[in-house]
Amino acid sequence: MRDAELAALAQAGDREAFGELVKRYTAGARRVARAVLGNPEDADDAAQDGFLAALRHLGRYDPNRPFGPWLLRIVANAATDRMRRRRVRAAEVIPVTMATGEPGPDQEADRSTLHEALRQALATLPERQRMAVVLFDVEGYTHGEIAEVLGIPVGTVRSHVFHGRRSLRGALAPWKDWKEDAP
Amino acid sequence: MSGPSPFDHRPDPELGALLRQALDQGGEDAFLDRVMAAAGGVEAGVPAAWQVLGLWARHGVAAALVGLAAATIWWASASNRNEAEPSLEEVFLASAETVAPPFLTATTAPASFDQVLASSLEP
Repeated sequence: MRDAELAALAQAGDREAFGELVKRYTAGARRVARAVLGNPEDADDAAQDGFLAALRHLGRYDPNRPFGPWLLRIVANAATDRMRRRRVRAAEVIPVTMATGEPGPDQEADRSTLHEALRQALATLPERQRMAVVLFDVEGYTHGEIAEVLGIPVGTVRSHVFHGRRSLRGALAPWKDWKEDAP
Repeated sequence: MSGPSPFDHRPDPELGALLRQALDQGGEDAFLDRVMAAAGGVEAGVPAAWQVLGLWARHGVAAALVGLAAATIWWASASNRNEAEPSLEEVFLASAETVAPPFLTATTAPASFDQVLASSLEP
């Protein structure tokens, strides 16, 4: 069933339809929220806020347009709001490190190190650059769709993607050299 | 991270895959359950009360601003009108003082040539 049909059903009170929409977009929404917030718990809170806000505002969704960008715009706004509130109240330093799991075999540890390096590099980017790169390279949205999500001109999206990618590649280059030199 | 240029208009699969792995946190089923549980108290298509109040407040502020602007314009034009249009009494008084000296208007007989000449020469 198409997203627009599910949205119409969800608006009419069909919770299964809403559940199906959440299932379809959970991964992307959580990734975008995590790209903004860093912290996985905050990211989940923001993604949940976004889904619930979308449910409340389903009447404003235009079924002739793709559902994903509409939803992700709400999620991105929820994440940005949460980030702003966190900045306001944060006397504490926002951790950019997110240790996950237990130490495993070498290969697993290497991958974990790479992910950690990437998350740290991502955290140094301006918020919009982060979202633009994630939406483009991870979620596969077009520049036009990302412009709709972020509410900025397409040219600005291209610029954000360019600068974001360049920063991330620069940050990961030494790490990759080290990997290639390793026996 | 060699490979495509940052200018490339296509998604970078290598960077995308790395980012995806770095940002994925698992536990999707638990998250779905959590969202659905929270959605139980939400009515679809109905904004939260504070959002409705926020919208009303926005409209209220806009209406108040429009009202204030209209009142300001009305007040400004009313004061200009008052300044531009003196009362009838003011017109009579002003014209009586400047155009016709009292001795010319108080008498019933026509003024003589000497009186008119004298009034016009008075400072």
